[in-house]
Amino acid sequence: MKHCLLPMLVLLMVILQTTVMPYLAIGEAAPDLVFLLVVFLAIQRSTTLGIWTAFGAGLLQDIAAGGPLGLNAVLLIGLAYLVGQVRRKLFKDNLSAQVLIVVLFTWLHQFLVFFWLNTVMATTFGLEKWALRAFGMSVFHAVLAPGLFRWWRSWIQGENIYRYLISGRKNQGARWSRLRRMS
Amino acid sequence: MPDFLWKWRREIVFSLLIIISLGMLVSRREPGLVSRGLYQGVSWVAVPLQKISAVMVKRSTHFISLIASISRIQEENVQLTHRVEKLNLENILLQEQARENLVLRRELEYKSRQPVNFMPAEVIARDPASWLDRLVLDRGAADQVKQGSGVITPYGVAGRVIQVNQSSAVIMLLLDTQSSVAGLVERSRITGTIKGTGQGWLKLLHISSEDDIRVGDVIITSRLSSLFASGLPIGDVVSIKPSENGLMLDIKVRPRVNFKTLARLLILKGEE
Repeated sequence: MKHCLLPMLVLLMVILQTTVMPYLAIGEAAPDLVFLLVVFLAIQRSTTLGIWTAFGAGLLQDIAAGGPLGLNAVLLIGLAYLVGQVRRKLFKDNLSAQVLIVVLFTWLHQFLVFFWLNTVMATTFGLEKWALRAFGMSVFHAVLAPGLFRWWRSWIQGENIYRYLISGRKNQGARWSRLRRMS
Repeated sequence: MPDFLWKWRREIVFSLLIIISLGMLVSRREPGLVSRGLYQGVSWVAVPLQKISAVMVKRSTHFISLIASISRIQEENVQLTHRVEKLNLENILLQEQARENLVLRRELEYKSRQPVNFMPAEVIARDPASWLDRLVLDRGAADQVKQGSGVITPYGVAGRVIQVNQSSAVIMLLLDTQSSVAGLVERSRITGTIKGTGQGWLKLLHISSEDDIRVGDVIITSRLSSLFASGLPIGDVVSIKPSENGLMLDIKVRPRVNFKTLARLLILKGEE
């Protein structure tokens, strides 16, 4: 069961990204939950897990949203690897440092997409579009990251399911036995 | 050897997955068996979930906006009632003109235009974080949707189908930088090419500085377009500037369709 939690989370984030997030978009900017999840895993768990998730989630996002197959996967794998390199030099439990990483990597991610589209797919996006999108998305990400990271940490540890369903009952039993002893 | 692999595991996984992803990206023009299987498999899982999620989100946003706009709806209702009465009258007159038109066409032995056959479809997914203007519809190969079919709304042209899965289809909107459609200036009948800019507006290409075009002109689909019936509105000319060489014009066109609020679309199935 616990092994299914991460794939379930990835699928949930892709579904939310493609159905709910369009309603939160302001102009050019909208949060990218899949990107945030990959950065979270690369910071809080391990680089290897971040890379594997980036591959799976990137392909899933490309297919679910109708983008070119492999584009998100390539970029997210690269970002997960880089985040893993940076994480070694930072105190990983420092929330401010995590938000800073998220903001910096949002700019980098958007620049890589911009660069790829303009060079390989021959689009003609301007630098101002990149700056506008990156700014808006980094604000969204900086606001959302602390809450989402906390939720995801408890989800992956299975706290939502195990702590409240199983451990909660055990604790309740222990409390009852303590009360009986006291009385 | 295992120590070496363990030491460099991150780099090995990274390189392997990057190569696989790049391979998929490079071969996107001719999807192989693996890519097609991947698309079908993921669509089989994701599309039903996306449909459910899209319906839930639409219903909840509809409910919220309904509550917020009750007084405005009442005012609109009164205005619309008056408008319906007026339009009914106009409709009667137009029907009469259509009958007259038909008789005249027959007399002139014009080939009458065949009615366009279309299929309604709902938007089930769109990635707002993507730079490309694409969205996913809830109709696919099972509904006889074909790659390259035109997609419209009651307000005008929206885009075309670029990929068909079993129960969903991906459409490229007119706004996408890779989209181009043959367009015609309704007033002066000049033909050009409508191209997406990826920035919420379109540009009309191949119009020389000597051509008759003005701000406010309506651009419609041309008979040259193989995807759309001719005469469908595309957008309105909002600015005209001479290009750098002075021979051509840089023309900015505002699309008729509001792409941010697209929910229902019509997929053209060709002529009956």
